[in-house]
Amino acid sequence: MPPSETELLQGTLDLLILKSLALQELHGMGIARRIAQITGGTFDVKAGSLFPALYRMEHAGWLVSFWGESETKRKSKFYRLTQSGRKRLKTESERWERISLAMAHALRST
Amino acid sequence: MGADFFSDGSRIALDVRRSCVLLEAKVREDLDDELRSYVELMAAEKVQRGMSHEDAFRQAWSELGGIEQVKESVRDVRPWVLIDTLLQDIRYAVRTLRRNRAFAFIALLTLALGIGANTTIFTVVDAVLLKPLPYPEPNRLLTLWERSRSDGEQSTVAPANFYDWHEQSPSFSRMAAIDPYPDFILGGSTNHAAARRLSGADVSADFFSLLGTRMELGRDFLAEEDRPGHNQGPPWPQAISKQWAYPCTTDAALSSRITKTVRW
Repeated sequence: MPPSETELLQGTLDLLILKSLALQELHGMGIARRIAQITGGTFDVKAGSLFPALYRMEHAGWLVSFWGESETKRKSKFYRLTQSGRKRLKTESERWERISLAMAHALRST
Repeated sequence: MGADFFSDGSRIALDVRRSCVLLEAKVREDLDDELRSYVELMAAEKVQRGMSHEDAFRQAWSELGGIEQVKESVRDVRPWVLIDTLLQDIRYAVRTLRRNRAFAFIALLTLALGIGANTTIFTVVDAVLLKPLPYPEPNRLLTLWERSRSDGEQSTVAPANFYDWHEQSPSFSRMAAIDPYPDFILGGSTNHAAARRLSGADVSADFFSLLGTRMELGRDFLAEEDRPGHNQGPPWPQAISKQWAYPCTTDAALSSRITKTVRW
């Protein structure tokens, strides 16, 4: 499936961002790359979706941002999960698993 | 009409807006830096893959999809965008009202009448239904009437019946009689400004103490003064309670003239 044709649901994007930050803090570019990596290249998050989501999630208290230096020594804004972000990641993952199981089950039934 | 109100509203709107703009500028600058670094990182990746510096940047910028569009989409999720929209709505409303004075006047009049009517109705409901009577234990106060057997109409209690109820009824701890009479004018034979319209009533001896009303002046009836045939002697200065008195009755000279005799 070409990545550009994949439309991300808002909840899915939030969950992917939370997941991408679970192991380490990343800048916006890093988050986009990480999401592409963990979804096997299915999701290519564009800046127009990524930054509004980051802003919204930071405002919701799931992320905090800080200025740091990227691996190429460039000044970049990094994001880190908060306690409430981790909690959110856990509940959203569980919810998503339930839904995907139910959907897979429903689609397989005859 | 309301020109001051309008400009006041605009000024408040302007103040809120100004603080929003300052905050907005800070975030905008931050976002600008963030997006630039995003593009640089993306370009660096491309350079690493062997692209020329120039091409890498050109492609990175085009992949970003327009820095202004991205900034706009971030702007849309910010909480004060709501305030901004609200202020725009308020400004629009003020402009519209200013242009159409007749409509504004009718709208204000409708609001004023509506609020006024509601306040009046509530005041009455509050006084009649919600507020307790200004007496101790108002829930234990009852009004007793006689009812005619032939037509079921309420009628005045005969004094003799009142005495019988008073002596014999076990249902009430105390009982008093009141016989209101039409408003009357008090004083003013020499000084017309002192004339007052008063409401009066004949009451039995228990009346004021039953209601728990304190006397402002004079004294209450005595039980022995409340007997048929007792009105032979000279009239005595009568008691005045707050609920029944007009401001003029605090004047001692006037109150000494308020006299009353028992009719029964």
